[in-house]
Amino acid sequence: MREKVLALLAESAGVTADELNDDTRLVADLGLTSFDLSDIVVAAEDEFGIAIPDSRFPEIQTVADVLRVIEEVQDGDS
Amino acid sequence: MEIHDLPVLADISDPDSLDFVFDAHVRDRDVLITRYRGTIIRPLKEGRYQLIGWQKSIYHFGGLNREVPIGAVITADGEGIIRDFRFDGRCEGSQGKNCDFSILHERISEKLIGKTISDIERIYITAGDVQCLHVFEILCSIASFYGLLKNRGLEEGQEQELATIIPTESGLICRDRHELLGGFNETEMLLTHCEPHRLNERNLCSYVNCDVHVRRHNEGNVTESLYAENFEGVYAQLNRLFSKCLRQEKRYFGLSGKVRYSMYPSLAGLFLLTFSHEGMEGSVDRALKIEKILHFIQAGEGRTPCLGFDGDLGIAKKILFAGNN
Repeated sequence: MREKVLALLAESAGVTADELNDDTRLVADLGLTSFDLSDIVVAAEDEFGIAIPDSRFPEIQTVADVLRVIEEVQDGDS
Repeated sequence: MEIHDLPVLADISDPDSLDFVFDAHVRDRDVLITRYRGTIIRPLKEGRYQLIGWQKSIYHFGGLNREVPIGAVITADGEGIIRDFRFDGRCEGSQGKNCDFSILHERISEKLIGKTISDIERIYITAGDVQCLHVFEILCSIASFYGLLKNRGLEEGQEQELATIIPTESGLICRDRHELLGGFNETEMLLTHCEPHRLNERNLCSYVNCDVHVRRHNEGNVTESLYAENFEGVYAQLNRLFSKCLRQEKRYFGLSGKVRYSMYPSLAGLFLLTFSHEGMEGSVDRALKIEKILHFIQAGEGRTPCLGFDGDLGIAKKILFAGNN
């Protein structure tokens, strides 16, 4: 799952997956906007067949947050 | 000149005059919002390049009729190093004279001249870094489109986009046409309200329940539902809707990575404004309420205020205190 998520993030941010680590900040380091975050969520929903509630958007600040939220939603802990 | 369709850019001999942007108007007040944006990159003599970016918004919200035209021209050398930056002298921000383009010009020139086009997105990460969302979007569009041409080995190219939002009997219709490197993508969104919008204490749309039928000229149609019970939710739902549109457009044009030359991210904010307008009752103070929403969007809740709202930089203060130091 990690590789797929990093690939999604890399595509949205226009960087390579190697440039990302858990602490990478989506806005401050990658220059992503709230629209880009939505794009990542939509892409993750398509990729993993999940539905991420809008209420979880504010939690997503770093690469680690993206991974955690997807994992929790997959586990039914949304 | 009324702008109903996109002009043929190839027929314009002096695109850096930006007359085709500043002379474009929409007088039909049934059209709530028109936004026209685009980018032209073309070679000049002696190996230099000219990069032209523009955005023009035209609003007609019961009592508030406003045009916000902005155009910028960058000259770069063959290595992509920025040698000159200028705004068109007719630029107007949404806060009129308070949007001081001489200050923006000075600051942007200081930061960009001598840097490469590709550096723009590294220098300006958020709209707050520029203190003008419109100029931020124009600069990012230029940098992003330049990246596309470079990746495709092209020396010149152009893209332009026109979106309109018009009320219907049961909701709204939004049409968007994006022309890029000889191709085009057209999307029409028909919104049907299932319930009236509700507004919060700031007059921002905080409850939405509607269906959106999305028709694309090149793919099958889809119907989406928008439902949210608070302002943040409405914004998130709109971002979702338009990120799906952008994903479709990227697939269609064969684009990848961060695509900034697109209207879709802005349409989320423009729809929020339209929903708020629709949710208002009566016509008393409507223009003032819209102004307050713009104020919130441009300077509210911890955001770096845009230049037009920055009390330390407003033109009024400069004039009042000129010569007092």
